[in-house]
Amino acid sequence: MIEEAPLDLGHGLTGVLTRPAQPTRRPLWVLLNAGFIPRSGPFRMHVDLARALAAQGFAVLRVDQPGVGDAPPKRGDDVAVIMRGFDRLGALVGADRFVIGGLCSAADQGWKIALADERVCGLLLLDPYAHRGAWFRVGQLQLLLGRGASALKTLLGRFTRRKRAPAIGDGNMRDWPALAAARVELGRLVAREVGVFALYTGGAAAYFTHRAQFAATFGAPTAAACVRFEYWPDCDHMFMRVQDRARLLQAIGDWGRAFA
Amino acid sequence: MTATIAPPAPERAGEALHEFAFAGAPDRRLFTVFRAARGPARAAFVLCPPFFHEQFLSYRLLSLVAARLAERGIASLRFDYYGSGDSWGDETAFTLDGVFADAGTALDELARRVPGVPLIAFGARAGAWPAARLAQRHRLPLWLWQPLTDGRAWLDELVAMDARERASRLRYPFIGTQPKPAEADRLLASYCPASLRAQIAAQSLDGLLAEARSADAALDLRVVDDERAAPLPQARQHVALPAAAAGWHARIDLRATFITPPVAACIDALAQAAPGEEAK
Repeated sequence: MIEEAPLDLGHGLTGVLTRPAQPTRRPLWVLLNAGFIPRSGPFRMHVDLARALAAQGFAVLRVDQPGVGDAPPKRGDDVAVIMRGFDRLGALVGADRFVIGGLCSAADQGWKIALADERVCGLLLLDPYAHRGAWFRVGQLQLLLGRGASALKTLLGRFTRRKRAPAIGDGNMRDWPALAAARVELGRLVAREVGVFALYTGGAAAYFTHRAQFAATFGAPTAAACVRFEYWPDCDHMFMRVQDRARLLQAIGDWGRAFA
Repeated sequence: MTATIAPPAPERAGEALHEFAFAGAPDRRLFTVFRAARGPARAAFVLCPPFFHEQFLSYRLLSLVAARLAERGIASLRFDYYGSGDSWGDETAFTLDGVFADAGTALDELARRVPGVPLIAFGARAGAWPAARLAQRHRLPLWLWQPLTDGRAWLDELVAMDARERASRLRYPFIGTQPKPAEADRLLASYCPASLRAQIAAQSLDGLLAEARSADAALDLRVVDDERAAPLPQARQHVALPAAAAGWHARIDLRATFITPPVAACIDALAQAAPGEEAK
């Protein structure tokens, strides 16, 4: 049996807290907005995930950040807002350790919060930052070849087409660290033994096409025992297919056992 | 039943207060967002949201609509149908009969919160159907935002959109040469078995409005719709929504939602139509 209740954290943070029937001292999960999608998540992903984790004994807050869902407009530093939210969660439900993150911009925000706040013990990164680099090009080539005859036309087009202004993409829209900083930052998280689960989908193909990119981006810390990496090229960015969502919930639940 | 574990945040400058709560029977708890009017409420509306993926695509827009109307003295209660959004229930529990029942529960909750205040039924997209039913049963003014007039036509659109998404190389870059197979009982990721499809296909806004008219010949119907859409002949007022603000439901992604001045003018037109405006 699980319980759900609305929770107002102040400072524009509003959400729904899902809790197991029995009080828990386990870390509290905070699921941040995936882009501009409200707290229930794409296709209710956060609702299903919160209830599945509560069944495992975790409390989970799905929350609207400023400018999304029911929250007031963005006014300042979202990281500071979430950290004050942690304070309030501590006062309201006694939480003192947190697993944070989510999909897309939620991964970007979670990364920054994990670096800024030592109460974070787990970081969920779904389609987070990656550096393109040489492996990305290898992956792109594999991707094109997998498309059969139409790939040749695409490749020829690339060489013959007049150069156009680059399109606005993840690199412009997302809040990503520089490559060198990302390596140092993952090293800091690993030194704190923060559990990290980084999952890339095929939907991130604009910047991630090959599994070797993860280690190439973040370097030696990726080999740490507290870092888990997966690459699901057959899955889209929003986990639209029901089996992809089920697989995701299973993978996160398995990873979450480390915090039990 | 309502449950809160923290007091509402103090009212913030320039924003009307809103409060989350669960409402309804213990075995069918609905997530609600009540937004108080700034000052005494002259009217209040219950907002029946769109279905399926359109629920999350429209969420911010409808939250901002409610916020703007609250500033103009109109309280609101938004809610999620059982088995959708933040409400309880597995998605397989989402049915059209449930939708109509939940709208009634939400109206009761709103009436409890603002006793004596004139009520309005408000529906967006497929939410027009339960809102029209509320208007008929309770003889309420009816506001519709981009209403779906024909269930079968909408179903056909969803089926076509589902096929496009499954074949999309933007969504599935590694798809190869074959689209992803269709998922049994699902449309665009949402659970939609044959029984629900049949119910949706049978929905006709004309029919629902005719029923509402038979209950109240003076049905006060206001419609905000795409400027390219044909006005509903039953509407007392048709407010033209700029095409740029009307296409949010056509793509499965979500961009930032803002209330631009033309959209604000549409919302203000509704506010001017609300009970109590004449007395001001």
